[in-house]
Amino acid sequence: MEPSSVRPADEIESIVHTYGTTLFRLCLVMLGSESDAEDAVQDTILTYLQKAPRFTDTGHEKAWLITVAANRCRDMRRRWARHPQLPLETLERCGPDREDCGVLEALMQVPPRFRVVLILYYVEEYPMEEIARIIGRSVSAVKMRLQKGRRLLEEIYRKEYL
Amino acid sequence: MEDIRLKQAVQAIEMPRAMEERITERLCRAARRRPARWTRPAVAVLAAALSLTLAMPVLAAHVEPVYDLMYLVAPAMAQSFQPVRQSDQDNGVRMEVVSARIQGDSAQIYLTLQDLEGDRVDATTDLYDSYTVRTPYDTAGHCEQAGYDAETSTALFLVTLTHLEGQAMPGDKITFSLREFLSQKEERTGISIPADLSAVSTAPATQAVDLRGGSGEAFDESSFRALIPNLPENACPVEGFQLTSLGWVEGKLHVQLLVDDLLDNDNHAQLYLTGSDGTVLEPEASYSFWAENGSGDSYEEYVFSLSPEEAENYRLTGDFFLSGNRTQGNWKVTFPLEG
Repeated sequence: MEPSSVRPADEIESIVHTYGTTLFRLCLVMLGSESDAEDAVQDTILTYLQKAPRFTDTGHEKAWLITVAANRCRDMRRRWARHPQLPLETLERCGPDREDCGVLEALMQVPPRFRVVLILYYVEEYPMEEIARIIGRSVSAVKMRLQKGRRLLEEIYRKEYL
Repeated sequence: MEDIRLKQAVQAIEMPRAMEERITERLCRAARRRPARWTRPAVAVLAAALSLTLAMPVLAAHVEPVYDLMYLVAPAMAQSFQPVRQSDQDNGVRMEVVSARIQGDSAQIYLTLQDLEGDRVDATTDLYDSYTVRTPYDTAGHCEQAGYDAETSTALFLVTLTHLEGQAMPGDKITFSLREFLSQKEERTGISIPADLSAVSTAPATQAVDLRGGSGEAFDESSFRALIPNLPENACPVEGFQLTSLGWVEGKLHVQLLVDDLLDNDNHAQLYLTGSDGTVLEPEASYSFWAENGSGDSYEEYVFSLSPEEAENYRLTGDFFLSGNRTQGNWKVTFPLEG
């Protein structure tokens, strides 16, 4: 796959349609703000268009976009004095029902470094090695974060929603 | 919780259709603007040439030499700039809008700042976020210094505005106003801070604080507790900063630095540990919070991941960025921006 540096409109539309929701899920859960998630998704795809990287297959392309989006979310969080709490009605507007919202609210209380690993492992179903590459940490660090993240998520969910 | 429930909950999130359309539209608009990139090297060359040439006293109180240089470097570009030459003076400093041009959905404005009474305008002069551009439409803008003439204490700035809707910039009146600027900025890097890391308390007193920011991979506001200042002597050799606390908290080395009067300057620092073999250990997180006395002082607390034994082989080091002078005034110029 060799993207050209200048993309026609239909190709941009196709990229947004193909990867928009995947990136939006990650960014919304990481940032806890619909508008910030929108900015992060847009920045990610803009970087993709500007850099026009070469990919071996669609899996490679998706992993690249997720890496850029995760980095973008991390950078945005660093600049915040306070981290927003996503209102329930905003979450519901994006699709989840009440029960799912409970899980998501608990997930968003898990510290970000564990949260991103949980999403990549349980939702995107990446292997540990790929997650390690995406977040720039060792495989053992990913295993530890996954273990601790899962424990934190269960504790928060049991305490607040059961 | 079953793994499947987590996956189901996250996958229930869909990007709203309206958002998808907005993003697509903005990206298409950005793609259409791509040919404009070809003009940027010319601007960069011009700015670089101005920076070099303005080392000579060519700018003075007049703007003709700027045009001469523009014609020399990029005649087509120079022709597209319209002379403005409107100025305002306050507190012994004159701000002059020299020239401006519209190009597609953006506008570029050259303006100068000249100290008529001293040397408050220098090569490090920074308007940071104290300028305002008023237009009848929404724009995004940024300002960068394009040159400096030491002989006349005159700094040249390039302001670039971009129409937020991506439409062609209409000719209209624009007001550029400035309320303060920073100058005499100084960087002091690799400064050794004589703190004894082998004698740091392993059970320091801590307190909950109201964080205003932070950074780092390990940043976690939910578990952070700040050190209570515990050092009787300030070991930081850089004026405007105080090393206020050291302590081991849950196996991590915490180093607390106080920045005096942050509200009135842009001073900041980055602390790190330097090993005896020259290796550098960066903090894994840092936390910022205001002093409680309302003075405008700000604390920065850095967290390092290493053991007390390893710490004995490191010394505390810092890069310090000081903005020495802050000049206030009220400068405002309204001028026509013509396409």
